[in-house]
Amino acid sequence: MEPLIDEAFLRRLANLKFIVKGRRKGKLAGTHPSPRAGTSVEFADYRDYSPGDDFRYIDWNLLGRLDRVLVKTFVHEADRPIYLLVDLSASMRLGDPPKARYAARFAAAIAYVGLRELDRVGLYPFCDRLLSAIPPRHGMGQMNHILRALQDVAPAGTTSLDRTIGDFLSASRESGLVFLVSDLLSRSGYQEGIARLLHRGDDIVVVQVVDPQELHPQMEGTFEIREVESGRSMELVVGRRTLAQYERRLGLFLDEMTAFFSGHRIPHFLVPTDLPVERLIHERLRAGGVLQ
Amino acid sequence: MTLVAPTALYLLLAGGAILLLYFLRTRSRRHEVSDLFLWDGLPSEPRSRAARIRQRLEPLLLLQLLVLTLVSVALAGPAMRVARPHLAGMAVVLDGSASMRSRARDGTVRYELARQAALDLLRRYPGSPVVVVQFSSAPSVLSSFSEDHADALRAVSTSAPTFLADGTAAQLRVLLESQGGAGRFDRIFWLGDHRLGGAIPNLEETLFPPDENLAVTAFNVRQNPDGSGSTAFVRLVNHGASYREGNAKVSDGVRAAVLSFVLAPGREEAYVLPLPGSLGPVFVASLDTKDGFPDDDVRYFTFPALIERRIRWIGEENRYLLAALQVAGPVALLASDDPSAADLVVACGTTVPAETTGNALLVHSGLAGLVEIGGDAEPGPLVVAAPDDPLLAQVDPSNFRVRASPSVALDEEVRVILALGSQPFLCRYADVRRRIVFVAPDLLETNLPLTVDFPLLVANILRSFSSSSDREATADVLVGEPIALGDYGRAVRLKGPRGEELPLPAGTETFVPPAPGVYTLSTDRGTFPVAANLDPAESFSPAESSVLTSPATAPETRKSALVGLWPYLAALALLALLAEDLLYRGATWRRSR
Repeated sequence: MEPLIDEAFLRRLANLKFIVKGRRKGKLAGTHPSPRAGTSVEFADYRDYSPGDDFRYIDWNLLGRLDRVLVKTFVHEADRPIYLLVDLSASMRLGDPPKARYAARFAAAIAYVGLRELDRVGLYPFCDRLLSAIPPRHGMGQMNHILRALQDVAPAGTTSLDRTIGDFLSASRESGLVFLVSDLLSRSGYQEGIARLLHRGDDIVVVQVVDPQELHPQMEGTFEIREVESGRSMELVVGRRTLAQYERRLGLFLDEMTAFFSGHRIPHFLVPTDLPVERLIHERLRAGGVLQ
Repeated sequence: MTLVAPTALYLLLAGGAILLLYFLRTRSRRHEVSDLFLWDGLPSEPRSRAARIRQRLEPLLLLQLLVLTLVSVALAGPAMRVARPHLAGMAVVLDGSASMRSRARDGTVRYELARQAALDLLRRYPGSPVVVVQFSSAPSVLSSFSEDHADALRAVSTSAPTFLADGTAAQLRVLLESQGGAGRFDRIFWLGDHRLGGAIPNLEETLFPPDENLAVTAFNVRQNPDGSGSTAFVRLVNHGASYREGNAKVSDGVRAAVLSFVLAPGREEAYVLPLPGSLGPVFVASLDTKDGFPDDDVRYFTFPALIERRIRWIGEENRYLLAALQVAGPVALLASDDPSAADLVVACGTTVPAETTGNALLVHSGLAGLVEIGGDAEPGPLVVAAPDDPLLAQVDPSNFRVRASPSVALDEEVRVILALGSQPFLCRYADVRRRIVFVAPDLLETNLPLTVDFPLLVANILRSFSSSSDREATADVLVGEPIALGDYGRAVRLKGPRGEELPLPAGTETFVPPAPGVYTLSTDRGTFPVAANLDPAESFSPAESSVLTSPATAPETRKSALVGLWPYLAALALLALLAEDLLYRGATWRRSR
């Protein structure tokens, strides 16, 4: 099978960085500013001297001018875990290329950017439950684990986003940057799960991968419309008017979704699979303020 | 354009049935979606008639209708009238002799070139009555005179060259007579490797020149008089334009003698190879070189095992002559003076009584009243007076050297075959009472016993004495020449050169070897190997380029003929069917994904 990402693609990802909003606590030293004071070169503030403080940080000029013993504090730089929640339910095998393949390629690219940024990156594939997760870790060795897991994905099962996110929150105690990659074309709902993520303090980026045929179906005639996850089907004579109604209904659904995400200030990207992953990353994600 | 069977067009009505089946069939294609909630409740759309037809007119249906149309029209037999070259009668004569098995300079077998040329001719003159002949020493009519070329095309396509010798122009004339006479043919196309001699009217010759060829043209073995083994005589010829070197090997299956040679272009050389301890009876001479005609790179020899020839020997002993006689067959020397008890009288250095009857070979001997021998004199140059005489078959007299030969007075009825200046060297005579062959010089005054041609000459002489005197004398059996099985006893079984059993129906008196090799004949008297070889003349073909000679020939006319178009339509139908199948499989595969 064709590799998910090639060397040329990786080279083009080399200069990308995540845009960090606010300061988040991090367990380990990293490149993102932390609310804690630390030992970086970036000055943060002054505070009164307390016994035990390092004499080297006392500002002797201010002591001379103000006759107050003040200590300089600096910005603490911490890492931030990046969670890749990739939908591998049966509906993700639709399309050409399959949506799952597209999602895997995108997730691999984000993992690479994160690991280069010295962040910990974890992979959480799911359908109606979490599948074999790869907990967040540093280093390019982690990249190999993630690539191996994404290389031969076999989508199957139904989708249950709310339940999956509940499982995810139990599995990962630390908040971070969550990339949710799914087609989100399910009546089972996503709002509750997203709300729980927000509650924990995660930054969320939603990448909704859809097949162009799902956005604008090109079909005419009698069809057995079959739901790929449940196997349910219905007979329908499809014509121009039917398709127009379908697109109208889809538009409403997507508008509702967009309103929800924008209401929570969650970047949401509706991505057809005929859009190259490189363009998604370099154009859409940069324009959307996720990467720089 | 005309239709031969227009009723077949009724088959087009089946198209209606196909259309009906298509429109009656309710089919739904499968479309997979992530979730049905976007489709649930969407109203099923009533379709217009045009939309229904548009949907049904899919490529599969169109291709099926196209196949039906093409098949119907093809069955109706559409034909177009076109003007084509025409001959009132034509004969295509393929040279099927062994030499056509050799390769031309481009590496193609010459018979294949001739066959392609024959097929081209048949296609060039469609509808012209044609007879196709495969010509050799045993010619055969491949397809008799007919306007229908299907038989002719099939016969030419399946024909193969033989191992037989060339036929003669006289034979061809006789064959054409059997097909209505040479005058019946506006054009007689000869496709071969040599020019046909003899005046054959309307003859057009196409010759296919050969590649380089090195051949064994003669091979003979004689047992040494002292019983110490055998001596092989091999003649090689280089029918090429460059020097050739290689090795010639003579083997009896156990022992072998190898000779290295270098032959100049066009040069023919004879070699003598001692085979100590070898008494045969089967010998094979072969070359290790590669050329365009491998079939003539090998020759076979077996000691004849015929009925013992009873010889009454008169005069001096001559071991060389006796050995040559023994090579030709088993010999019993009679002590009796009764001439009637002997098959042959051999006289050396003496005079035979005038009343001698039967067969007699006189070597440096006279016969009162017929041949008078005088004193030896300086011989004149060798003259071949009767080159076509059977005694000289496969014998090259130019190798003969004579140191001294007697003056001879001959009866005028005696036929001189070889002469030394004005003096006879080799003569023959026959009347109702006797057959005489006369060799004038003492053999010890000649190089004859040392030449490859001497045993051949002696074998030819003995054949000329055989009861079937009208048969051509040959030194060995050639492919295509009948072997009289009765000479060996009552035949029981015959095996071919590769050991395969050959059919031997009861009452069979002769067997014609179809290919060179050693055949094994089992009779009630024992088992006898019989060697069959290619005619050495087949090794040589004129090296001229492909030539088309057109003597005064009847003019070519044009005649309109119906050309059937059904094969093209059938081919198109097949292609359409293939496309339909591929399309269907592709659609099935896509759906399965």
